Amino acid sequence: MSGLGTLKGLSLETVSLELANDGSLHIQGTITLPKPTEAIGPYIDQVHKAVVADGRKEYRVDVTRLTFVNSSAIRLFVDWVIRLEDEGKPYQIVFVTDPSRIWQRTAFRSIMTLTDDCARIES
Amino acid sequence: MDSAVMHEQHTDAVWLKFRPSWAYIDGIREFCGFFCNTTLSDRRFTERVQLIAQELLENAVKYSDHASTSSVVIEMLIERSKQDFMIAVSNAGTLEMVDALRKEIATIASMEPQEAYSYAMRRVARSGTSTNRLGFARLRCDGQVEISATMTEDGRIRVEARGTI
Repeated sequence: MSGLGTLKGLSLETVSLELANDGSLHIQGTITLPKPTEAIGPYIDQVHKAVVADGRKEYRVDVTRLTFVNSSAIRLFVDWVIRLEDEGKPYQIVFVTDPSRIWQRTAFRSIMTLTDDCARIES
Repeated sequence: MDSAVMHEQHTDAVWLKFRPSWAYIDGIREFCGFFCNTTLSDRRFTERVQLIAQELLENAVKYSDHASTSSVVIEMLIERSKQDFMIAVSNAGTLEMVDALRKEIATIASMEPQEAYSYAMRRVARSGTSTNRLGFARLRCDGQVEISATMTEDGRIRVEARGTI
């Protein structure tokens, strides 16, 4: 049984995290919660563990339809990349972004400076 | 807000006062976006304004004294003739809080905006704290504004962001 195959999505008031048929994660909506690491962090932890269990070497996270986030939400992506660094790069995360959105262009550009090759951007 | 400013033909302005509750923030950010979009029909500018409003409002609500009867005030001026704008948020606070804000603003202002954003991310990574301190770096980088913090005569912290449209 695939690790990702056992996971369901997460739906909150303004944001949903859905797993596509290929297992990639699609995040859409807005994240302006006071503590997104508490509300969404545990789900990302499950996704991470499932990706590792599946033995994937690359994992796509599509944020093109994540239209707005607060800075606390950016921490979710920072922590994810740092975790990959700390665990010896079990896989590479591919952030699929929409560079026409200011926050996506600048945030992921800076996130890339946290790692040599645990993450890359695809636009 | 200065009444002369309010009546200036080429100036659009918003002034809102509310109790420091997180529940207001989404609605006020959306209203600021609606206001900007109606004024200028510029999606990128609207996106910048919403981001600035969100970060400043969150900061004010987080650090307000929730036990008191204090309020948060947001002001926004769009001066079309000068092609510039200002967003300021104020809340009750102490001199020590203003000093801490000024120190953080000076640190962020000492670097290029994208470099400051990367610096702020490196600082928060592996920090083990729930505090982000990404806000001011994000205001400079995404909002493309200069930031200042002052203590007003009536004992309020005022954080102001200024930039060009």
